[in-house]
Amino acid sequence: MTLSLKKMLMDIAYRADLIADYIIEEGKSGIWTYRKRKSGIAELWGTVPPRTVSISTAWAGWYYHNNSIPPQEFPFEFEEIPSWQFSPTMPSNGSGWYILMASKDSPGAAITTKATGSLCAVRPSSHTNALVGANLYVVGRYKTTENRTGGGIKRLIRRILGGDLHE
Amino acid sequence: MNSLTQMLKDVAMRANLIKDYVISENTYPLQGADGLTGEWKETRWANGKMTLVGRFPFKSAVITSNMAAGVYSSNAWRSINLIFPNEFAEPPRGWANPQTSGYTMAQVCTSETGKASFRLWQSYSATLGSGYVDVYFVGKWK
Repeated sequence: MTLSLKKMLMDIAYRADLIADYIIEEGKSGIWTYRKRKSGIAELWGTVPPRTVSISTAWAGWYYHNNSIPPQEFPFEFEEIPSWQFSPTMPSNGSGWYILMASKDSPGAAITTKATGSLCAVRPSSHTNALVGANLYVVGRYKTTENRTGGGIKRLIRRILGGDLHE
Repeated sequence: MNSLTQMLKDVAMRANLIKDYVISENTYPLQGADGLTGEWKETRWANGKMTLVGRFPFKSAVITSNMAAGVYSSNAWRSINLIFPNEFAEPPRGWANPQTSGYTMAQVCTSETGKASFRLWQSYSATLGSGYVDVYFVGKWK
């Protein structure tokens, strides 16, 4: 197994508790850009491209379309349901007035450890040809935090570098 | 004299081995939020960025007061105050989204260096069962 100098140094610094966390992997998968951190936290963000839906079902004085943004699978599974933020994207011609809502119960799917929930587009008047997209941000724990080896490595580094061993 | 940590940081930065790294990750209970309890997760990065991720569960929410035409909320939910565990250097940007048993919206109303507020509302009157609100703030700690 080969480790890069950077990875080796960062791992030593992390295990010695000199830094709290760092990014061990980043990449793209489907709509997602993701970053995994050593501590077990991962964040990912992405844009669901717009598609045309009909926001025309009357409801409580408004109009909705269910599952306008279907669940988006994560590139990896979280250990617990992650925190999730979403915002609608709209065409620049001003024709896309709507908001997005998530519901943890029916209709639609609630967020899980494997995918976002579905989002429902809502607006105060019927629109049968609405372009609906979304920006998504997700952050959560993809693995349990590893135990650090703690003071032993820290003391070793201090000895090598001639630091004070008696603090 | 620089500490060992500072020395290693300087070496890593100067050698362009790292762009940024986390200097602290802490969890705090939510404080002073109108009876709402929850948890903050604070992350500070060396370059000055700070993020706060909060999840605030509730057992029920009474959204039955007609606040404006087609807008239902209540005095309890029209402005939920959130106290940050540590101050930002400048007002952060914030987002809030709920997960409820209804069609419910949440928005950040105010965002200052040490506190913020959000509201929960719907277009119809209802008493919601259990749910939660996820909030996310990002800004600078230095």
